[in-house]
Amino acid sequence: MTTALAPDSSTAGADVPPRSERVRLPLVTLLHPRQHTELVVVCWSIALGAAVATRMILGWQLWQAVALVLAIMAVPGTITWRATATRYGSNAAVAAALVTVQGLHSIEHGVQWTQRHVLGEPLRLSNGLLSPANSEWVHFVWNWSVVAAVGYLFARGMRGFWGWAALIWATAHALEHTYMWVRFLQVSAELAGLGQGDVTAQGLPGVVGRDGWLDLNAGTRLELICGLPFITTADRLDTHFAWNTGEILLVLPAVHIFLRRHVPGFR
Amino acid sequence: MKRRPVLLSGAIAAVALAGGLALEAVRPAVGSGGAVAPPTGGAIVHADIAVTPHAPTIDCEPHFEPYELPHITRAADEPARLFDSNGSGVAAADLDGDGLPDIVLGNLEGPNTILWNEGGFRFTREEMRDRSTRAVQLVDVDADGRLDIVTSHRGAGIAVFRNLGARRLEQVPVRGVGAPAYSMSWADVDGDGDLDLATSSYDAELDQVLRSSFLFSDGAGVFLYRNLGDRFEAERLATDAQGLVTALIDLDADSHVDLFVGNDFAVPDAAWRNDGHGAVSPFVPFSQSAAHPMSFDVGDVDGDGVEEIFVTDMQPATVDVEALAEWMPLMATMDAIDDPRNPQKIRNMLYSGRPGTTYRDDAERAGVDAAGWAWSGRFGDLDNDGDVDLHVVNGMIASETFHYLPGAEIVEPNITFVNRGDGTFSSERWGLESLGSGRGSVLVDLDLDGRLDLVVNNLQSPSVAYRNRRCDGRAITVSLRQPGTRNTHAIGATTWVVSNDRRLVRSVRSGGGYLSGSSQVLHIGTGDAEHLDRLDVHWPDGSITSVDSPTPGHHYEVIRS
Repeated sequence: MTTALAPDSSTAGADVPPRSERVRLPLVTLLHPRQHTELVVVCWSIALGAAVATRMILGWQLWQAVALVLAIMAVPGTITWRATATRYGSNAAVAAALVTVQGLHSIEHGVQWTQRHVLGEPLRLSNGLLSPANSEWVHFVWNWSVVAAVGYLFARGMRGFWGWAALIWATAHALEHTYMWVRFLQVSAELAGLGQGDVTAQGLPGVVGRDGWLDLNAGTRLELICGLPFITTADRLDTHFAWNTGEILLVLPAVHIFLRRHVPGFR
Repeated sequence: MKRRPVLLSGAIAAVALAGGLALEAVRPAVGSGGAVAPPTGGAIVHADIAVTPHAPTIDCEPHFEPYELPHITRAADEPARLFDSNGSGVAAADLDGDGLPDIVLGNLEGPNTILWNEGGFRFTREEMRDRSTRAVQLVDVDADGRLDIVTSHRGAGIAVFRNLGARRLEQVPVRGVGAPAYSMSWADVDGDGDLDLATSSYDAELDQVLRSSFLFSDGAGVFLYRNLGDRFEAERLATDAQGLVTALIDLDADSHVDLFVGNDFAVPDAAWRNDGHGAVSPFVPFSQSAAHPMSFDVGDVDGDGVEEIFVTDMQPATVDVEALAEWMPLMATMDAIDDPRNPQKIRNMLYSGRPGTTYRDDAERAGVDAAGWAWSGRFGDLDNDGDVDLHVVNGMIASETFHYLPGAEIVEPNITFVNRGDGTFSSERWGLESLGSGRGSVLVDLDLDGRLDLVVNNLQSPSVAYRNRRCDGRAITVSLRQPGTRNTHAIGATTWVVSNDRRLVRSVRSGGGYLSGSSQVLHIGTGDAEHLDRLDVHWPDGSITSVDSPTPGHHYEVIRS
């Protein structure tokens, strides 16, 4: 039995490009700012200048400067995605947004990995460019948002191997963060009860990784699969670098195939 | 189309399983370093053998039974503060010649305690006039055949209490030994047949206790004292030390004891290689080390004839919410150590590998990397199955660090790691899970029934002896004597029990665990074996004595003639 895929109703009324414009790499086309290139360049220049100025003159912290850059770049980003929605439909806009933000998120984890393993920073100080955003509730909301976006595209036809793999991976990742978020709340409550409310419970192990549930659970510890290197030995930073790298590596081909098959203009 | 997810899941599972199997196949087992045959080639020497059957175990139970002892290690303030939190050690051996191991418990604010063993877990208490005691070891310093009591101290050097027999002791000076000592170890370093001494100071405590007199002195550090017969000759190997652990042990498989000092805090651990004639030079035997090495013990965890080394550190034993909350304020202060390029790690270490090569840490794979705020970790075959188990005492009382906890105390159950037979361990509840804040500990057969009992010196709560009521398996126990020599109890000797394809190795040491002595009666569990092939004794000078067909369930006293 086969399931009829939902027609791309989001493109109703959209300005479908002629077949001659269709390209082999639709993601590149989607992420290209096209007629907004000048706006992007101007905003990027302003953002960088503002970041440098706030850092050097106002003494802002790195994360504050980076947040400023992202806020400024959100303007051309939003305009570009709206243009994408108009030109290719809302499904394409969601796909573009998903790839962009999850790509940036993966870069953030790449920076953390670099801080830890290249620069030799302590684990607690390897917080990437947006350190205050490196908190449990942000990750909890973020990862379920990613699941929602992947699920949205999945429901509109992003199936096949890569679609399924991306959905399963993103859901597993979000469940891991759910476990961590719950434990974060529990430990925070305990710390508050001890009068140590100013101590952060950030950075607790999750299901996988060193000291994770699989590592310490009596029923799984040292068993075959759970004794595999990394699954029970990686620290939190490496674990989530792997989660996010895997996620973007699955999302990219899934979205690529989805665009080629289901979005007018790329079919 | 709908079969694709199923196929995908199946493919992922198959790949994971195949990967797991492949990795299991290629990675070495915990502790594997290749079986090592008992040493051969040494001169064969004759020994007189006295064989005594073990006492029967009464009232078999599947657990250990606690006996509260009349001793409490007190700190100057309660809850303990600063380095009083580190507590004291314990040692056990036969001091009065009745064959029963007696117990000596160190104390900080109050006298030490000697518990004369009357049999049946009954003890006669005697106070011992020695205060501010850290380490306790029982060593025949004067080579008269009777074990003497040696203690180290908070802010001072060692003291030797000469055993005069008939339960009489006399403190005697030790010429040439004077530097402040926190931890110590005795063995024949220079190969001349007598016992030399290595000590390490704990400078952080000295700074606090001695204040300006320490600040404006040239400090303390690591000392090697060579025994010249009527006095000791000191060699200062390091000017700085935070030596929670001092161990004389052969680290490079050349049959000569080397020196290892486990330093607390950021001071790197240090080791010196012995050339066999007492000349030592620094070397690095371990690629990683524990940041706070609080205990050092050796045992052949995988039965291949090579002894592994266990070092304790601090790491929550569980990730329970309550436990994590207790630990988190402290963990937040440890960023400086948490550097991937720093060889110091905050966790227990199980050093394994073929001696002579750089040891690797197998603690995580063996399942012993986390045991709470761990102090004494001791190897011993607790269930007489032939595999060495591991007991770790833990807990911490510190009024500054844990002011937010009731009693300023991290309360953790001590942990019994039971060897699965392959060098990995499972945590079992055998009645040894005391919540007392344990520091020193020693495994010793107190009732001569061939089963290891346990004594723990707790801080701010009564010390406890745990009687082994388990009746599984049997063992042989071995005492070695070298009358007429300067090392009467054969410290540095190694025994090998050979049975079928197994070679069970044990060695005689002055101390182990945290600030504690080691029983110089070697205990070798033999499971259900009715007969053993051979007991080989490798004496400290390299000569060998072989005992054919020793019988399980018996004690062997091997007296070199």
